[in-house]
Amino acid sequence: MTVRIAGAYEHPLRRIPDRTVPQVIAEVAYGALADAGLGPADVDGFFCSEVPGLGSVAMSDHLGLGGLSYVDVTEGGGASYPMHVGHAAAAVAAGKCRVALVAMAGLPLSGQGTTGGARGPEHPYEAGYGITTPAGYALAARRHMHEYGTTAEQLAEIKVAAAHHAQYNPNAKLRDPVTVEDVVNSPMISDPLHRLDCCITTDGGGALVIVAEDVARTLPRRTVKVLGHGETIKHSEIGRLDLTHTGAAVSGPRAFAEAGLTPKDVDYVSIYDSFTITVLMSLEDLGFCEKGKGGAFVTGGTLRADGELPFNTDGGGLCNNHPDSRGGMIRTIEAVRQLRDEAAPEVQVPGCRIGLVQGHGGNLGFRTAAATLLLGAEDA
Amino acid sequence: MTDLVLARLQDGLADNRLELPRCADCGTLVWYPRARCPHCMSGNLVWEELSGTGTVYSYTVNHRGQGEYAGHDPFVIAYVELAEGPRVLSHVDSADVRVGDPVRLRGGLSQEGHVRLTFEKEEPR
Repeated sequence: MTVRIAGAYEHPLRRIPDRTVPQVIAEVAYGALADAGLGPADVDGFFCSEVPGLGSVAMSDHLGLGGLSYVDVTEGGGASYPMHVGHAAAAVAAGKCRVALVAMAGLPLSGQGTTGGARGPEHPYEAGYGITTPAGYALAARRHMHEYGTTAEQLAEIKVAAAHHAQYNPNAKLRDPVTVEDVVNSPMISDPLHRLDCCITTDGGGALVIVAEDVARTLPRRTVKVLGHGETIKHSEIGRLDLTHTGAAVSGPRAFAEAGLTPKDVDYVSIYDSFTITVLMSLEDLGFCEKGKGGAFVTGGTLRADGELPFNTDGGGLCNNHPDSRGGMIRTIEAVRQLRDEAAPEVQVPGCRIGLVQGHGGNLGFRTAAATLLLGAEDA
Repeated sequence: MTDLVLARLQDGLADNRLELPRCADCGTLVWYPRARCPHCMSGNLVWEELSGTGTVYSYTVNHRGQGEYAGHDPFVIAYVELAEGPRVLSHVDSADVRVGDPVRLRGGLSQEGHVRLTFEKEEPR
């Protein structure tokens, strides 16, 4: 049975000082349900990561979800939401639910981030070094440079493409185009990553509605097919951590196999761009180029909307939106826009039929969750 | 609550010895230290003193530290591949680090007693 994404909604704001996280989750959840032509009483499946209250219980109550028959609180950081789409598609296909809601929000700029909880078992062994999120990714970038000769200028090409797209997104936080020189001359954060290699942090959120095919047929809007899903946890291998791969090397082939597709079939990619290096390594691991050749692959406008492999046409987490430092939701929403032919006209990929979403969570320098989705246009 | 595994590592480091648990059943040298072997599940782990030498697997010069490192001068965070295999998070006390540089453990604990493996570059002979 084909499962479909019938609704999607990205909060338009990037700084929200006057609302609570549950209030913003309600805004995006109702936004996605309205987009689908449905309401809270229609929802029988609810999928979320860490949200305020006990598990999904308090938020289900807050949202007034009617008649839930399936709930799933899966925490995979920024990868959570493509994971949820995969889980929702499996639950719908198994008949466990028919209308699934995936929703997230966070307000880190207003001091209301949702990430937290008890310290992990690794904490005493990793916390004493003054390490930051960029520093972890910098360790991965440095090793990739060492093994494959990747350069700072090649990484910068990824930010240049994202910024080119963001100028056409009126809601994007950073809308000015940048050059390779701007990126490599921006202040060093964690060598070799400069400030413009790093994503933004925003308040906000987003939501998706996944439905059974027979439900989709009753709805007014164009829907998107869920064709394939894969996910994994890439961990530190009992101390034999490999910094040159992401979890996409595992989740990607699984998703392609489930969809019966190959990288050549893909018209558009949404890649979680926590940092430029995350995109470069993901493209290699997903098979869009040979391992180690990502630097050459992204050079020369490959990732621009008019290039060989258009990516993150909303400006991505590097320029548009990165609510709660969790990128997977907004990446998925832009892929849905592309496959509905509803992206900004300047960046809409003509005849976009197959889209890929790659989510990552955690830190590439340590341990990560990864999820890959293959999505198809309504007639794909 | 006392974490006996963490305390065992700290005890060795306090005496300038880098000791890690090795599984007596499957031979896996376990980083970070655990009470059970994550390879074969055995609880039969024996602490073993390591050479304290290794090479730099990757590094970053961090310009934006957190916590006590906020506002600190740029400093080197690295993964050091120990001679015995594991890649361990560490500080390297040098302004000029390259991947592959040989390093030796200089100290393992912060002033407060937290785990902070600190390596220095081995002088070429």
